Formats: sequence, C-alpha cells, structure tokens
Amino acid sequence: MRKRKNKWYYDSKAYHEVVLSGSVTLARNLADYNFPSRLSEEDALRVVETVRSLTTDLGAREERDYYSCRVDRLSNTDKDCLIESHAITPSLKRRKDPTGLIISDDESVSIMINDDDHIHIRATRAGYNLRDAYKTANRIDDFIDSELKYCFSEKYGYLTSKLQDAGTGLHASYMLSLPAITMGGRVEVLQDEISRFDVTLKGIYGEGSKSAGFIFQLLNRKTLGVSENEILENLEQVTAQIVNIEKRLRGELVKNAGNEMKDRVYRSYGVLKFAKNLPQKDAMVLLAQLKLGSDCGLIKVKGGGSEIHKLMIEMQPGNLQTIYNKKSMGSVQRDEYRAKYLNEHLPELIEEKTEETEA
Amino acid sequence: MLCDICQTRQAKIFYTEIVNGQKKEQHLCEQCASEHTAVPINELLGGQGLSAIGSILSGIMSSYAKDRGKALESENRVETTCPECGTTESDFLKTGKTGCPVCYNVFRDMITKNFKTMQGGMTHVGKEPSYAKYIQIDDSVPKQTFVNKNLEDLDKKLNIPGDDEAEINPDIKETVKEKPKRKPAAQKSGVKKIGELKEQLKHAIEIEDYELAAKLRDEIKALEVKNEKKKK
Repeated sequence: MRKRKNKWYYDSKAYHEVVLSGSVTLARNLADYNFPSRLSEEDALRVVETVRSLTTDLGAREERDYYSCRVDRLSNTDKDCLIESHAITPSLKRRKDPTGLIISDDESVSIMINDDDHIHIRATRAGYNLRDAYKTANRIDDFIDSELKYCFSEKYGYLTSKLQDAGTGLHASYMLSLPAITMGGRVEVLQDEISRFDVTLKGIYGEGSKSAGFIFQLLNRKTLGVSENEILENLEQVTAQIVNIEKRLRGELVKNAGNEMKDRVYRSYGVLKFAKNLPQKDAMVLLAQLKLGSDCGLIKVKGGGSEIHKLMIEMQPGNLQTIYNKKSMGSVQRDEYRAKYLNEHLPELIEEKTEETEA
Repeated sequence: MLCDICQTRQAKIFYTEIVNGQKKEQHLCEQCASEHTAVPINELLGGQGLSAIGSILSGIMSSYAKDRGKALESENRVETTCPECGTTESDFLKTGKTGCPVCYNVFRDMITKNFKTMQGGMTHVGKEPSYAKYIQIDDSVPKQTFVNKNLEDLDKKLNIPGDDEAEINPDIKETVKEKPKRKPAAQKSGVKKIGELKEQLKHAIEIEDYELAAKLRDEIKALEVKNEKKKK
C-alpha cells in the first residue's frame, strides 16, 4: 500500500531548527448519517466506502499518488507507522468499527475516515510552513465539498462530534523542538504564559509537560467564533515568540556552558553510534541533544538537523518493525534493533575545519 | 500486593514480557510500570488513559443541570434523549460528544453553556461549504434553509402547509427537548398529534409540572389553529 520513499519529513530544504513541522486538521461530517460514535456498522462502512471512492479523482486533481485503505484491517505495526509519521491519530487506531484512510504517497496528506467525525483532513509540512499545509487541506476540503454533502449550521458552523471542534473544525499545530527552554526549566512558565493566547503547549513522546525528546506540540484551543485566518495568525504569532525565546536561550547555553554542551553532544553521538541496546526514551534524548548540537554549530553531521529529525521518527516501534520486517518484537529485542538501526544510519561526522557544504 | 520495583505502592499491573522465549513476570504499580516498561501506560489501561477529559466537561455541565432545578439524581426526572441517534444526557455528559446534528438541538442549553466558557464566540465565522445540509439550531435561521425529511412527511400527515415551517420550528425545538419520555426508537420526529399532546398535558398536570403543562397547552393551541386554517 505505501512506499517507504520520500516522506514529507525528508524535505531537508524546509528544515527549521526549532519548528519541526506544521499540520492542519479539518473536521467535517456528512449529512444524513449519525456521527461515527453513533453509527451502525453498515452505515460506518457506507461512509468509509463513499469517501474512499474519491481517491482516484483526488489524486488526479492534486497530481500526486493517493492510496486508500481500511484502517481497521491494517496490522498494528502499520497503524503505529502511520501514527509515528503523524498521518493518523492514536484514537483512529483504537476504533473497532469500520475506519478508513486516504493518504498521499509522501504521507503529507491524510484523510481519516470515521475517527471522531466522518472526515478529518490533515495536511502536514516540514518546517515553518503552516500556511502551505492549510492551503492544501482547504483545497481538498473544497474538492470533497463539491462531491459530498456536509452538515453545517449557520450558527455553529461545521457540526462535529466533539464540542471543542465545532465551528471551523480547524486544529492547527506546530511541532516544536525546545531543548533550551526545557533544560532551563522554563516549560511550565511558558505553558502558563501562552495559555492566555488560546493555545496549548503539550509535550509529546512523554507524559504531561515532560517530553523525552524536548518536542512539544503547540495547537489552537478555540474553533468557534474565530475565523480560519485568525486561528492561523494567532498560532504563528505565538510560535514566532517561542522561536525567539528558544533561540535566545540556546545562545546563552552555548555562551555560558559551551564546553560542557559540546561534551554532551559528542557523548550522545558516541552512544548512538556504538550502543547495542537503546530504549526509545534514551534514544530520543540522545538524538535531541545531537540535534541541539548540530543546530548550534557545536557538531557537524551530514544532512544536519533534518537527518536527525528523520531518525527520531524512524527509530520508533512501528517504523522499526516495518524496516526489519518483523511481525512483533519484544521490548528488549526492539531496543536492540533500534540500536542497530541508529548505529547504521547515524549521519557521518563532518570533521571541523573542513568547510564542507551540507547536502 | 506491593509493586516489585518500588516495594511501596500497590501493584496494579501484571506485566509479562517474553524475550527470546524467556518469560518474565512482574507485578508493578502504575508509576513504575510507566517508567520501567516499554508499553505506554495508556495502552496497559486499554487505551482509556487515566482520566477522561469528558469528566471535566461533565462536571461543569451537570452543575448547570442542577441550576435548572433538575438535579441529576432526582427520581422523577426523565432523562433527555436525542430522538435521532439515541444519545442520552448522561452519555453526552460523560463523553462530551454529540451523536448527530440533532443532538445540537436536544442538548442546546448545555452546549450553549459549554461554548460560552470554552470557545471564542457563540457564532461561526469563517469558511462555509458550497453544498451542505443546513441544520437549524436557532430560530433566527431563515426558514428555507431548514430541510428535514421526517418533518415534511409529518406536515403532509398533519395537513400543515409547507410554508408554515417557520412557525413549526419552535415547536420542534421544544418537543425535542421536552419529550423524551419514550424510547428513542419509538420517536420518529419531534412533532406529535394533538391527542397525544393532550394526554401528556394531563400527565403533566398530575405530576404538577406546570412549566411543561404550559408549553404543551401552547403547542396544542398552535396546532389547532393551524388545522383550522387548513380546513378553511
């Protein structure tokens, strides 16, 4: 069904040292059906097939290869893979009723069918590029709108199953890499501060405010009473501020603790290159430290931070199992495969003073 | 039983790991399980997580239900149910999810309350679809946008001319909200015949729910007027 080539996160030109990716999700429901949580199996199937029937036309319009599948029939490994590249949500994985997916070849666009709502259109772009993601999602929304009948209220906009999605149905988010803010112990303060601007900052790959890889998701809270443009603008403004803070703190880190930092970064590189058993949490921290070093110019690796971001995604369980073609892995076995994968794929060091240009 | 790792907290999770055919069993508390095992805690708990976000919502909205003088635990209280999809008030409070567009009318008061506190405004601004089924949630919506099959059929049965929709709408809104005394399957739509309404009125007076009785009386009156118009 999917090719392991040219995923959206391979786009090294779009790489940004703080903003890893931006994504936009539009929630829509079709008229004449109950929402998925109250849908009979036959109707659920009908919704899946109706939406899936648009795949070919969508591909022709977008001039890209689109594939579709029944998510409830995929293996857990395949589902994990899709979650790891942010193509589907964990809640779609858990659903037992018929669920579906239309996905572009690079996994940058996905249409989830029968998650909380009939249709969730998601578009993702690497780097600081939310507007492009929105344009794509909006274009696909227009296309589906021209083919199928949505349910809509003039008062409450696009009606959704969850009240926190009603209105525009738009959730926009940025994945941010915030090592300096985290190391400086400023995450809680920042979360507090930005909650006034109707956005939420939450740690991913960890619990609550903790984040193993210093990676956080910033997303809008309100969807009703604010226009799409206002939502995007607000998120962009807050992001710009956070990027400034993170860059300033990174500067301070390098200035005040440069040698210590450099040691830590090279140690991380050494462990990733030679360790034979790497649990995900450890690997995530080591990669994040390496990425910080690369972003701050303390270490030079081939491909730079973009390559490290790619490893962060592909060393996760679903991807590992797919790469090594295993149906299941015990946790120790998986950690060994993870180490093997990282040993082999860690980008080469570029020796200092040999001014090579990055690929 | 105490947790095998920390030896202080109660073990709640029985964790079995099979590595190269070797079985290893451990009794762990939630905290140690999340720290020492590769399986995320949410997965161990059946994907439900430790606490549902819906519960906060439910707390806020059920306190509102009490404000209305209809405490959830009250015996006489009949649970509001959506006639279209069967979502009950407690379902809605528990999950914070609506089941269909009609729910937006059935649970209107609670939804309005929720939007006031959680959202950026009470009215949608932004993109509109080019082709959609418009759902009426408020009386102010122009009548021609309101399309409901069941209603049209009932209009024919009750001999109500189609151009009276604007007058009917408030009735539907009310009946949908007040009616759910029978099982949702039995309810095709919100409009009832006059005879049924009269019976309900009797019942309302018996249980001394005068607010409901007044509404029923008005509904009956409105229907009678319409039917008379039609006869002429």
